[in-house]
Amino acid sequence: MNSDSLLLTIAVISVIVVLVSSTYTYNSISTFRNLLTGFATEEGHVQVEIVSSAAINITSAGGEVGSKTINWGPGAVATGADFAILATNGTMFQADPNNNWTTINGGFVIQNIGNVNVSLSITSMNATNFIGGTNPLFQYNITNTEPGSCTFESEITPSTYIDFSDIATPVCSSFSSNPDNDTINMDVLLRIPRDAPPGALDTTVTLTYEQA
Amino acid sequence: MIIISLLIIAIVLSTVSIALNITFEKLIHPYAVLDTKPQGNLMLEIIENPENIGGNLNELR
Repeated sequence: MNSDSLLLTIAVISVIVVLVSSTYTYNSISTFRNLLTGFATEEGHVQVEIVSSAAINITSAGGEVGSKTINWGPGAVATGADFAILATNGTMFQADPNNNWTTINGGFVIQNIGNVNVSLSITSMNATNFIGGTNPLFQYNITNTEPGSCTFESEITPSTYIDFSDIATPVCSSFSSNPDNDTINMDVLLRIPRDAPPGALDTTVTLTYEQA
Repeated sequence: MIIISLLIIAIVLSTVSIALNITFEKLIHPYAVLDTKPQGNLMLEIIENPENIGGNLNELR
């Protein structure tokens, strides 16, 4: 077989492959559009398939609906104290009365707004990297705002503080999408040592999920 | 000439196929995944208490 014949053969094969792939793509799109929007048959039936949708949302933070930010503002450790403790359940312990952080009443309220149950993991900085100083704490706990919303992983105890980690920590093996049981609360606790470096601190808490 | 024609046809069809695939992805994506990693923010500022300067009490005791 000379080079022209070889080239011709390759060209013909490539055209056939492209034709087949184009036809397949077109059929896929046609099928998907019918599933998504409903398809009225000649008999007058309407077929609708509800597509699975996995989604969670932070609906409130710091007691403020619609917010995703908790801000304690500026403050200092009380004179003579080794540390101060701040928590989103309203705790304010050993803060300097003259430089007092804002009291926060309300953690992150997390809702499953999809239509499938999901598993949920949480990630943030660890206490040493976020706060610094001697024996800092940066922790969270999870409670079911609506009973049965979160089926907790075996290592997680409800309403008990655990350390944030920069490695994703699984907390809910199943976070329900049932509208009556789809909301949990995450409270955050900070222990700020007196020798923590002064300055503005800012970090993010990332929620990762996938269909359970 | 035949070979060139066939190759041009292949290129045109490939382009159409890619355009169809992009359209398909746009149709699927909004319904399959909305937001895989929602985030909350935490902020505060630590102010130095002048009367506390001198290190951690636990270390001094």
